[in-house]
Amino acid sequence: MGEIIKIITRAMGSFFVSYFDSDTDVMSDDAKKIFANEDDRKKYIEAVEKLKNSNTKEETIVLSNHEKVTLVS
Amino acid sequence: MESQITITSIIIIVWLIFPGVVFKRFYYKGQFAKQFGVGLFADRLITSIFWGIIVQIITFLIYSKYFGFTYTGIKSKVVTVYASVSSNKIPDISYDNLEYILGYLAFLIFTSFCLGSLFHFLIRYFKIDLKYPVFRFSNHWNYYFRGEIASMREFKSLKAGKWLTTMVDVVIEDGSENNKLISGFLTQHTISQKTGELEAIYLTGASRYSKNEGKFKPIPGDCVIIPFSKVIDLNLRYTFKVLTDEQKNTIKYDRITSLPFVTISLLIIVFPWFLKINAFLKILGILLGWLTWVMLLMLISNPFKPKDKLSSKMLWTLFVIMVVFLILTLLTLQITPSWEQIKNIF
Repeated sequence: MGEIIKIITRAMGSFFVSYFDSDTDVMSDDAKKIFANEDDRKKYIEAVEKLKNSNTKEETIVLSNHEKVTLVS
Repeated sequence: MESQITITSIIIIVWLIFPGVVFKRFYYKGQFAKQFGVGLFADRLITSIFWGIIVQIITFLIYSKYFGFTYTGIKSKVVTVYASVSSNKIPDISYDNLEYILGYLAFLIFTSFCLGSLFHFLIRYFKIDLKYPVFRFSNHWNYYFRGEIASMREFKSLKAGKWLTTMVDVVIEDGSENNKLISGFLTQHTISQKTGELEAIYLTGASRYSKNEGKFKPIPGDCVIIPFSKVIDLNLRYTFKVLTDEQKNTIKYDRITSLPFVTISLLIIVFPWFLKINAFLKILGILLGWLTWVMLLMLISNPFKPKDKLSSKMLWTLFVIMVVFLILTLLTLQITPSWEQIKNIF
């Protein structure tokens, strides 16, 4: 029952957030999550710098939640 | 003469300009909200009247269909009221007429809100503004800073996945002979309320190019704010995330479910106002009906969910709760079928 309430609340929450969202942010939600964690932020910045300064087309990082993210620039 | 001008002005403002303003308020929202107050007064007035007329026509057609009034019927009442006002007499308006007028006004504002929100939603949802320049919002910086240009025809080659961040290399004028080159991740931007132009950009993880050392050196601090008036050059570089098949399916699933979700939600909000029940029951019915719809959509869409599917136990629990809410909604809105109707079905 608690799980069901949680799911319904989440569904309603995402609707209201998307409807009344008035931000001028220029960073995606995924990137905000990465930047919120110090280790992930460091890995991400290093990977982007690598993409910028080398001819590498793709760069894969493993986040602290074990999610693999492949970046392209 | 003076009173005629005043009455005409009030009629135009309340019945034409105000609905247009409400429409525009909800059409220009989110990152485009500042476009609402930008531009010449005459231009804003004309567009408000234009949208006001459209909203007025739609409201009139809906309202007259459900409440059975005609143009000639309204005209005769308006003529009577106008005759009283122009001869400095208080118009004889019955309570029923007043309820009628205020009801229409409330419905007019609600229609403006719905149309404004719906138009905005459709244009952004189907990326119409990205495909057709005529529908583009004036805050063009948003399209560049959020990597949305990747969906435009001229930048199609950029499309490589889901946009994550925008990195910016910016040359700024610092008053000395040597300009500064700063690089960092864009986090925010501000738009002028008056002109709609870019005011400032906010960078995080910023670094400054050192000519002596020939490399970028990190700038201590968490956020660098650069006024746009100091900017000479701006170079943007997007970072995209390569999507797995599961992630692509999740995005598709979200897009497919959001359209019926918004459409039916709007219908649930509108429908109870045509029922002959008191306002409290209408509001309660909307709330219960909407929760029922949320649960029903979760049940219907579950088999198509790419991940985090509900277990069969949870599905049954959700189904039972949904049925209870459905019955409560029908009882609240007093639209339960009669015993005779049920018998006829079987």
